[in-house]
Amino acid sequence: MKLLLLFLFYFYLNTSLFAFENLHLKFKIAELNVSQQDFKNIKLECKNLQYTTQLINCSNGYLHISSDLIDKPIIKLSFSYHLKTQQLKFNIEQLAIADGKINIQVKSINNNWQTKLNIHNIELTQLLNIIKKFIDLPSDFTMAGRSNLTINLNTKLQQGNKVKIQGLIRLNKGEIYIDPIYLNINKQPLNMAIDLSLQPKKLNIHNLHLTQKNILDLQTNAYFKLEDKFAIERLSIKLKPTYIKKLYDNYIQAMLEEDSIFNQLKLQGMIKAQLNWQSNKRHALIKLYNINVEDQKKRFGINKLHGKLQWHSNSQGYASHLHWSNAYIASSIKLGRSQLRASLIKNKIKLLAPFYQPIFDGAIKIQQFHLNNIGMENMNGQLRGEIKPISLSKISTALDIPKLNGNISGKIPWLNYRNQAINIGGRLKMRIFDGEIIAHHLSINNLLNNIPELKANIKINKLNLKTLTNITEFGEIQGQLSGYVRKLHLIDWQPVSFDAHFANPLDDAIRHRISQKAIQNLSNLSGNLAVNIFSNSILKVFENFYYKRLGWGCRLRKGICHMSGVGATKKGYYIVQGGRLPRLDVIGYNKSVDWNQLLNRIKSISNTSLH
Amino acid sequence: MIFYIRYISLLSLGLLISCVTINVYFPAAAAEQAADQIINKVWNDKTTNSSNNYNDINLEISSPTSTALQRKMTARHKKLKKYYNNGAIGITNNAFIMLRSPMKVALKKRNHVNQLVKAENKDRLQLYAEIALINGHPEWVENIRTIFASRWIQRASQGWRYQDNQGTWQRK
Repeated sequence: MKLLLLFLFYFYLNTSLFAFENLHLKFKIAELNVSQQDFKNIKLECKNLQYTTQLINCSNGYLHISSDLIDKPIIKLSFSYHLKTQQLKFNIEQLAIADGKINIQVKSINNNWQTKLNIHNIELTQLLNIIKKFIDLPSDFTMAGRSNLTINLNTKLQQGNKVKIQGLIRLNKGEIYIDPIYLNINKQPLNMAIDLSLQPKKLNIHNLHLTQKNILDLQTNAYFKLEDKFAIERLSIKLKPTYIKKLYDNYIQAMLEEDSIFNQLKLQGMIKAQLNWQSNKRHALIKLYNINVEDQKKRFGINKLHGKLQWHSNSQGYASHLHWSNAYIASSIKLGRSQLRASLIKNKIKLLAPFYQPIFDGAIKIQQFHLNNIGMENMNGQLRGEIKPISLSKISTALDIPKLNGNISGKIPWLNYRNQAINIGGRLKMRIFDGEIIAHHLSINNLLNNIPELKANIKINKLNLKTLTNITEFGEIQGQLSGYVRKLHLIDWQPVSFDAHFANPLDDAIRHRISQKAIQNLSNLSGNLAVNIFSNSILKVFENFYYKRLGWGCRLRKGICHMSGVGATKKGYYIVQGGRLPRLDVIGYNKSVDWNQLLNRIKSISNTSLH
Repeated sequence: MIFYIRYISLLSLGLLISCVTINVYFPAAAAEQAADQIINKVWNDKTTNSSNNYNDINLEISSPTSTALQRKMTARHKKLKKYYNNGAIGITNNAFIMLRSPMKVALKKRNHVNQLVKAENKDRLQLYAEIALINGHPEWVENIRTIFASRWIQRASQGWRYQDNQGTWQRK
């Protein structure tokens, strides 16, 4: 600390009163430098100083300081010192700092200091900027908002340079933002009771109790080493049973991204948590009691979620176990009672027992799942599971779409995650629309990255076109549909390229009929389709037509879909090749179409059909 | 003798070929046009001179990844625009954005804006690299970023804040 002192100290005696009373004290320091901060023109003045053999008392003084750190240079103060008891009292009133006001009361006797700070309407960003001028804080540590604070501290100097501090800090009002935590303290004050000992190389927090009535009750004790390197020797944090809704509304919601699906939750139930940290082991535990979660947009919900989630840095035997009575996804897809047993050790998560989630009359079963090196560059894992047959009739009823027959089922022989890529081994098979869809050579790259990339081959076997078209408003088509989507490549879930072709299988056992509406929609699909029929009036007369074969292919490259059908005509290709009289052909003449235009046409047909 | 002449001729040709250096210069003008085209899309700016014929751009900017990034940035800009307008966010001189005046963002929204800024900068970084990559010159990434740095600022709306070459914040 650099101290430049131009010293002027004088007092004079007012002879009209008793000796040593009504002294006029003036004390001036030209410049003071503390932690490279300049305080200039410091003047302490006390007009009615009392000085007796027992007491020095200044009841009406002021201090003048010129500095950027304070808003007003004049500070009102009073002080007294009892010579016999060595008791010092010191008051500062209305210190204008960080756009707010601070009152300070200090009382000291026998190495015991009692400090009361009353901070009113202070701007935390400005306060932090001032603190940062004296203390090194991490660059990303920010505070903002206005707050009222009261601080009561009792500080005792003990042997061995030990300082014992006890007290209460109360945040009465205001908003605080410490990236990424946002606190709005308007309804209930936030109290922090502290009891700690500070020594040159260690900090022992005997108790730090953070409470916000009916919202939060958090108790901490810790022992930190403050040598060359900061180290946590012991840390224990306990969150007493808390209403999860209060915790979410006051602390968690503002930390979530606005677009996050977890940003608008309705919650009920209680939560309790604990963290024990020692130099050689760490253990975190969260207990959930009868929790109900519901997304306000009804995208998902879960009822009576109960159990414990725990993580240990190195030991086995700390299993997590969650169970719930029911849940739902997509508004109306109901999921039954289920449970989950897993272990979270270090940076690994492993399913301890097969996970079985009933859905309607079927289920999703995960036989095996583990993920290693979570959060690290080389995160990897594996999953094996299956979808037990779920009736499409149940799904269609729930989704309020025309009734479907058949079921949906599938199998994931193995799914590997490595180098930010998912590879699915074997065949992902789904039984749907009385036929099956098989995906193979499926891989997803950059799944957790910004732009995910999917590659797959898909095979379609004998889907019932009637079932398929009945769930859309496209118009009914009867027959079966087989085909493939080869070399499917999606970037950010948008198609980049593929080779696709769908047509009736050669051994199609179902009779071929197509409705008038389906023909019209097929004609609208490509701007350049034509319907060949004896007479347009016949098209209007008949509701359904027999057809010999139908099919359509698209080879997508650079945003252009190169189309094909089920046979060539002189200038085009058959989309629908007619059979018996009245013979009807739908012929495509345009061999290339912009993919986005095609999608827009499909969307427009869907919209028109729905109306 | 003929054998030697042929041998020498071939050798000379070989030496000639081995000495040829093909310099591919960074097409700065095309990059400016390409940047403008992307900025128009991301900022939904229809005020640009319609005489610009983007079909003539001698720099490829279209790839599925680039399109996906532009789509994300366009959607994000709708959320960011009011913070450009009130001066909370400024355009930096290295082609990114920054929350330069956090006080202008309501405290409750501070996290949200911080996350938007972070995501935007991540996408911009990837976009500059992607354009360089699809043109077969990954080493152009810095040139492309420099071009974008000037174009984002040039195309900024009235009242938006930007950093000049000295790093001082200015108002358009």
